[in-house]
Amino acid sequence: MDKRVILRTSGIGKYFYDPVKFKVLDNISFEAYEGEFLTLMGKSGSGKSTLLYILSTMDTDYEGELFINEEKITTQKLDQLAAIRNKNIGFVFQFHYLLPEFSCLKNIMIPALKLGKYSREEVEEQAYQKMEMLGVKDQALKPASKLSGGQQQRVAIARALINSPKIIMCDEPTGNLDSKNTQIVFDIFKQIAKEFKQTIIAVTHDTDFAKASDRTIELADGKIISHDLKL
Amino acid sequence: MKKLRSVNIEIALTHLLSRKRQTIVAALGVTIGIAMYIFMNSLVKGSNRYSDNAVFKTTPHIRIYKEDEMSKPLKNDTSQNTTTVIINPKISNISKNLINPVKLLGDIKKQKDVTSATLLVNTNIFYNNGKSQLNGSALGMNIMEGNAMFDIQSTMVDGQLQTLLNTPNGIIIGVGIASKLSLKMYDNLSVISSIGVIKLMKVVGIFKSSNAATDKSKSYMNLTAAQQLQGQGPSFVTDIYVDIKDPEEAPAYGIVLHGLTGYTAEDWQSANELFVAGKKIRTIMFACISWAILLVAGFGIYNIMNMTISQKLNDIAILKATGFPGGDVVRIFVLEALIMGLLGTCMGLLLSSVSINLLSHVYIGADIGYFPIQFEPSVTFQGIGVGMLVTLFAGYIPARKAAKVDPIEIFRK
Repeated sequence: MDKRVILRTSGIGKYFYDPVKFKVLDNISFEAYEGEFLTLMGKSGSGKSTLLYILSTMDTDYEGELFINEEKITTQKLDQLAAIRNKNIGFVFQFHYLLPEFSCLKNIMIPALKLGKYSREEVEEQAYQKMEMLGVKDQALKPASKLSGGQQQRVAIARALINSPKIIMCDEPTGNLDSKNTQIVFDIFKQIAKEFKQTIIAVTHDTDFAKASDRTIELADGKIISHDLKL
Repeated sequence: MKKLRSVNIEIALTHLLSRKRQTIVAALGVTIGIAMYIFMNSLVKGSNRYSDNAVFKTTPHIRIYKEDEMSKPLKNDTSQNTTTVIINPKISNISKNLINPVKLLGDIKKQKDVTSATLLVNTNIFYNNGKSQLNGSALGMNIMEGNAMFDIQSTMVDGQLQTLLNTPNGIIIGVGIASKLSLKMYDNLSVISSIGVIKLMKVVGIFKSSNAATDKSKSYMNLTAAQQLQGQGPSFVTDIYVDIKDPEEAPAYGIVLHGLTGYTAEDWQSANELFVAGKKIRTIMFACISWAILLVAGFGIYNIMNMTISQKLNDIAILKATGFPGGDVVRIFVLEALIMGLLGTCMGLLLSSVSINLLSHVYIGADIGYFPIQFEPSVTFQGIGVGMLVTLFAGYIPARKAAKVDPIEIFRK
């Protein structure tokens, strides 16, 4: 099968300066493919989250190069990076980070309204579709703060999906969820990767979660120790 | 672009609506600030206008007269070793007469911005009635022109200005003179000028100005009567009074008129230096107070925006993560501040209008009547502008801080 590279890093390194200069990432080079469900594993302090934030384009203070969709991301300006994130990357965190004053529907619509590719009506239609897929359509008009944790996380995933990004980046997406909700989220990710050819890069320390993914990259002490960890 | 802006507006409005109380508290700060700013500045403007008018009831914008000339030494000292031979300076001009006044008046009236100009004879006289004598000064002029300049009619308590025109030996006296010499309308009054000319005059009007000293000494008469008192013919004129469009331009215009006529042209500001200084102090004082109040209101908004932003770090982080650049974050929060400011400004306009209206119905008495305050469009627009400017700054500083929030720091917690 011809696999298209969607994200590529070459020789990424990063230092922390506080309290002492410390190399947290060292010469990280890997590729992620279209439609791949990729997990990053490693012990606490291995640098997996740090790597994810560099991949997310939010952290710009690193050495080496990052390419998304064959476009060089390193050295781009902050506003350009924001536009790239808006268009190409969806985020799911351990905490949902929904805007509490807004309805679930609005929360999902905001990134799409920012993108401005579709009219408000079309965006609303798309948001309902995503919510239906995630089983939270009946919560659409409730304020985000009134939902249960599992529902909030699913709304957050819907928000990540609204602009049909090439990549979904997740930092411990199931960290706050019970096993039932974890299973739901996991199924959704599998579905997204298979059906919509979207790439998922998830940082996790949940072995079951990693085991079910397409591929697991293991980090230790800022280095990749396995590109395809067998669990 | 339109869509993009509407998202920002939507977020800002939702934030404000979900914290109605905070929004209103911040807006109330601005309300009071703006209301006080407009109210105080209207107060200053109103009372300045009143006192300016009081000055302009007796002082023209520019007065042209012949300055006393001092005699010069016969031989000026040219080097350090010589002394001036004759030093006994005296006023050397015999007459205060302006030469060819009618032509001068014509020239002055041709100048643009001159609204009115009139010829006068200013003369010191004694008022006699029986044995009692009062000294004072008389202004000889065309009373209707004088009225156009000083609004004499509004100070009249008895008689009509018109009567003076038809009565060659008529005189309009201050109410103080009338009571001291127990004069009534149409009584006769003998007047002696400083050079000893005696003239019998008839009281055709009595005025009462805001100044008791003026009421006790001043009178108006026809130009010819004043010329006769000076023992002079119809070409004798001591002063030309000039009014111009904008009284504030008087000093500059005085220089022009000096060049034109060759005589001293005194603007009303230099004739009333103390008054002008007092006005300046008043203006500065009130400006300081109103700015201080406005700044406090600005700090109110700053404070609330700061608080909001530190409560909303998560929201800011996710907005930035999902593709809102720093500029959008600034726009969202500045917009929130501006909406608070706008709300406050509108309420401030209302509050200031109400308080101005209330104060303008307070009766002060004397010839002031009601409190000299009114709705001032220029002050109001200034207030709106200044209010929005203060809120813009008060919103921008915290908003810039919000734009600098590093989402990674938030997400890693």
